[in-house]
Amino acid sequence: MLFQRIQRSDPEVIYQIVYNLAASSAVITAGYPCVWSIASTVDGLAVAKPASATLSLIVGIAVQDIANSAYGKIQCYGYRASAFVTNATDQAIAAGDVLVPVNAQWYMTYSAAGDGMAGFIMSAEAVATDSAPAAANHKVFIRCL
Amino acid sequence: MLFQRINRTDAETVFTIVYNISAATVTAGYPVVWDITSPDGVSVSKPATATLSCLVGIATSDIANSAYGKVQVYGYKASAYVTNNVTTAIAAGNILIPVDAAWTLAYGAASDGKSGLVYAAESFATATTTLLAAANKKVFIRCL
Repeated sequence: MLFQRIQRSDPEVIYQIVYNLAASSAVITAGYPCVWSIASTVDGLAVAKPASATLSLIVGIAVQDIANSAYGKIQCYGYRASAFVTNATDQAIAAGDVLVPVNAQWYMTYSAAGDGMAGFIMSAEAVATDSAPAAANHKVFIRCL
Repeated sequence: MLFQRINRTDAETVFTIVYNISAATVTAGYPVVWDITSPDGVSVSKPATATLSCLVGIATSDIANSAYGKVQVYGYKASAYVTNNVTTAIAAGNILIPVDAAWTLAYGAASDGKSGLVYAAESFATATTTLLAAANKKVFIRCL
């Protein structure tokens, strides 16, 4: 695990190294959320694409592209300026809202308003609705430790 | 981030450094949240409805406005500002949550084994007046 040295003007962030075991030889692009793998390899190192069964196993947000079957760095705590978030046709995202991974997708979406007792990823900026939703990089706060 | 060196007789604690932009002094024991007006992961402010889940932790020392200071983000803390109410007593183990426009934590829910960022470590009886007064109470923090 990588902890930033103290520099008070920078946000405190924590990283960890993971191994990309996503199916179909997928590359994990910087900004993608990833989850612990529960397939053939379960070792706390292998990560994969979010699925219905693994939504709560979110590890963090990739900070660099991670080739398939390769090691790479994931941010698991702190502010991040670019994480893949999708909007929706009927639900705008407000700063402070709780975001969750999405089954079979490399992005996060709105889950609920912040309630003070839940949430691994919180939006740090507003995302408006759109008639043609699409994922894009947005600011988030991460609390996945 | 500050991690205590291993000492088996002390509680394990983790601290982070933040910047107070609340326009007020953050007193030791106050909960603080990430600022969302100009988010940078360093600036914190007073809890608001929109930022309840952006809880960073509990201040461990007074932090003047526009100054840096230390916040505890993990572990046991003997003094965090908690308020009681007229209907629900707080039991040790209950989930505590920040309160809109207040520097206190309040009862959130009974423990459920899957959520919670701050937990009461001692009981707090009901009061006869709503939001009678916040007082320093023992808590467990899990904000990492």
